[in-house]
Amino acid sequence: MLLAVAGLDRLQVSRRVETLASGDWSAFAPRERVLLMFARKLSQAPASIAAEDVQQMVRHWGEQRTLDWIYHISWCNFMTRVADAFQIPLESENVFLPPEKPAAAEPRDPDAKTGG
Amino acid sequence: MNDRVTRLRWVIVPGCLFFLADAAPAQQPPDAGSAQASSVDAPWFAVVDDATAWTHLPPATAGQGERLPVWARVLAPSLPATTAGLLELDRVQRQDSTLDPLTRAEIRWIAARAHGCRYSLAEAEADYVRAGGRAEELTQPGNAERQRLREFVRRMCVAAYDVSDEEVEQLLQDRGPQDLTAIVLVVAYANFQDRLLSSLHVTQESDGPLLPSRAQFAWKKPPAAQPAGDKPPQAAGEAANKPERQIPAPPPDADAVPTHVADEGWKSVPLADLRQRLTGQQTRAARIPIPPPEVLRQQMPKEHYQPGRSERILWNSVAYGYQPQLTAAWFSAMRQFREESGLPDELRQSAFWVVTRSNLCFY
Repeated sequence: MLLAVAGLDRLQVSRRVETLASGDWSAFAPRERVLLMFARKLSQAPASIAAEDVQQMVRHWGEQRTLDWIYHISWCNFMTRVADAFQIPLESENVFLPPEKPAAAEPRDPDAKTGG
Repeated sequence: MNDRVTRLRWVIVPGCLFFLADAAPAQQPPDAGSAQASSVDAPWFAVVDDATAWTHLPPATAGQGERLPVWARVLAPSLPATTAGLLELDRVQRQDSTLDPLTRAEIRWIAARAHGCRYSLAEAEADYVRAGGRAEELTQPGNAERQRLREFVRRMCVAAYDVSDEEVEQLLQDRGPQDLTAIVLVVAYANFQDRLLSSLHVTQESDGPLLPSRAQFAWKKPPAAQPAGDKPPQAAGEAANKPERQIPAPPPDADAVPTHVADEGWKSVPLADLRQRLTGQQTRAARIPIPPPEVLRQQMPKEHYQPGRSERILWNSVAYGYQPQLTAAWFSAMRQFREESGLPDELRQSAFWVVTRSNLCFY
């Protein structure tokens, strides 16, 4: 859902998910691959994060942006725990997009004939 | 070596990188160009002193100038409003929980042990003792109900996907929905905080864990909640007020970054199976009764509520419905972060996907 919120259309979302799931991340820029691999490692085993992992992030993203990413990945792990604990049903529509506006009523044509 | 360290030594997780040491004075950030890692005891990011950190934080209506935890002194220069939000969140979590303080501290301790985070272990133990408990009780299994709770907390940290309906149903009977939600939010917060702390590689404050911060901040009026028909900020590309971040040029060896996920576990669940699970999740019954929309409207802070949108997100209904204060504090910090960091949306959501896949979470 959230990839759609990021502006990707349905086909783009599908392709992005397929790319991520495949494990072949060659289409991503090097710094993006560093980030995604860091996200995986930090999620799976936070105590295993080593100085070299953080240094690699800083080399590619700078210190400030690395802190942003660390926060975001950590935040994601909060959200997944709540979802997993309660097994909240997935909404059938994308609830992170605004609801569709009701169709506007056709303006009345003052010249239209109303009957035979 | 003091008694505190003696009690903690036996719970050290093999491979844990942390050592109890004085909080470092302002340090140089990790040197991206050096071949040697920085000292094993040193934080991996610069730590400013309290006075400097306070120059970055928003104006405080209470607690101005007080001592700050070391993680706040790392984050304040680049994420000042977020740090302020985290200080308030930390207080709400540790001091204002609807859970009794001993249970709350014990849950936090179990989670810290599961993560191998010594900073949080020490803080949780200190909170437990301050609430009237004895430190040695933390390592005792206790009665059946307590064992169920401890095991639930541990598994939520290391294998949340594997927790069963029956386990949660039993906890719901033991505790009721309000307490169960508080427990889950403590565990979730621990999963957030311990990852943050592990990545910052901060060490304990020199005189032991601090009390929760008393600081309260004079928040500027938050961005107006988006009307239901408008595009929410996260769908509009990069945030309008994106702060400047100095992104370096790619290093010379950028092409050496691996192009493929190395571990076999990544492809252990085919994408088709993942998609099937998502479809199944749509018809799944939640493990906790979902409060009706009118409860959400009552409990959710007005500045967070978006008519026609907030009720559609069931996560909101559960979290705000049963634990409005904890949830509001969490989302307040999150909103500050989103505004301050200005992370690029596509990559941000791709990283979220990687996290959910790594945790085998449907979300």
